[in-house]
Amino acid sequence: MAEMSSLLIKSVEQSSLQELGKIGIDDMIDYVHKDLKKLPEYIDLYKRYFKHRWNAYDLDFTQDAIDWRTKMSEEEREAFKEIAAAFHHAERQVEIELPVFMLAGSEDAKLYLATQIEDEARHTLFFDRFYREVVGLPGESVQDLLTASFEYVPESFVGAFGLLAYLADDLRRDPEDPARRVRYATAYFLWTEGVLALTIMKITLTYCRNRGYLPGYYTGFIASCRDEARHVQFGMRFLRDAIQEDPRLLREVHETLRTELAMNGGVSKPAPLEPLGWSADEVTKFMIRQVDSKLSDVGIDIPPDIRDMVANIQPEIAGG
Amino acid sequence: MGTAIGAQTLRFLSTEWAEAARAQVDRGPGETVMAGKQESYWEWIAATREAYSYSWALGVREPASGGGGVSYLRLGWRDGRCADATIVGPDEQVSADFVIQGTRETWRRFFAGELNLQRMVVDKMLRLEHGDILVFFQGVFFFVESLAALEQVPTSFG
Repeated sequence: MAEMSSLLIKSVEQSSLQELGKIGIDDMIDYVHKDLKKLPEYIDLYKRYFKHRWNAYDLDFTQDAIDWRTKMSEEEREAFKEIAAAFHHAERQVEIELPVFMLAGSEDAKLYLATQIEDEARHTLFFDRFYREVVGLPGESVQDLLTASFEYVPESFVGAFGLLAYLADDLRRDPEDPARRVRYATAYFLWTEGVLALTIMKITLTYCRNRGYLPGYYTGFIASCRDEARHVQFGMRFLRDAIQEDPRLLREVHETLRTELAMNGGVSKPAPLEPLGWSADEVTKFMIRQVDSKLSDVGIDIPPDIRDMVANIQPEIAGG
Repeated sequence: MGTAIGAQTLRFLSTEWAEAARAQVDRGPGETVMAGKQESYWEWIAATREAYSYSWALGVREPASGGGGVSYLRLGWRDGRCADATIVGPDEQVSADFVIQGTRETWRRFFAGELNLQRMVVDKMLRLEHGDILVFFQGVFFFVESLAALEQVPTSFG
């Protein structure tokens, strides 16, 4: 990832919600990674939350609704709906599955996790507003919108997000168990947040920026990406510390990654990337870079068989 | 979906129903379902199924008012074939690689075609009560396609 100037870091750190609309996605992704080598303390991530917090009700989707109806092609709308629906449900899933991780760990970590749960709830609401006010899906309640948008969610969603749901269930049986916590953290923070979510952010935000469409979506999602920096940094710090404390836990990281990567090939329909200006090859390269950068920055080694699986990764369109 | 058309409706958790379920799951998806999904997906399923030799105990949890017991359809896979099916009653011990439970109401809605199969998993309408989660998920799409086949068995809850 590219080095960021102090001026750019300040701009990303201190931008208001409206000003964030001017930040480019590549700069924001660099920001996600900039602290991975010297991961912040949990309490610093907690403090940072108050600088980053935004309100999903402050977004204006008026122009987005015009762009959606009059500028985007049918093909673009269908592709965008599918990709955004996966994210809508992914946000909801990471929101409801995170509290179980807060039942153990340090008090500093618990304080931080309370902020991330609020982030994830806000991101779910952001997609609720987008589907309601821009796409025009029917429904009175948040639940109604989730039901309506699930129709567009790809079948492969059951892989990464079914696994996360079941790992959360398993962790609930013994929230203190280090192996269960490391499996869960690998699936949640490394794979779902660190690879899948950033991929969707890159695809959809690049499309919006290049075409000049959907400014409300761009603003809300780039703000979500800034939140993502804290989420990824928290998770990678947890994994780094857990493995340093007990190196045997590296096996749990490997087994979880093997499972995520094994499921990655089971895609029943090709991801609709081309209407949004992407090729499968470009997305694959981006995903591989996301895996490699997290593992190398935090010092997690992977054996050759996982390295081969990473090299054969397929585009996967979900993340939260 | 594979050929349940015209098949006799069988009572849920009866011995005859268990055999029909085994046959349907072993048959797998029909041509229409196959045609609707890309080839690489079916290759993934075939590679998973080829050496699949785990057993599933699909549990039916009765409401507390009905005694709260759990009965199971136990399906045994051997080298990619669904080789045996047995019903395990609420007073018997179940032994399987993966024990997965849902409520009677979930299964009723499932056989009525009212449930999305992906949501049955992600919303934990089916819970993995026993078994290695990671190993189970390494075959999750095969499991979901098997659920899709099972759903086609004409089932009565009388």
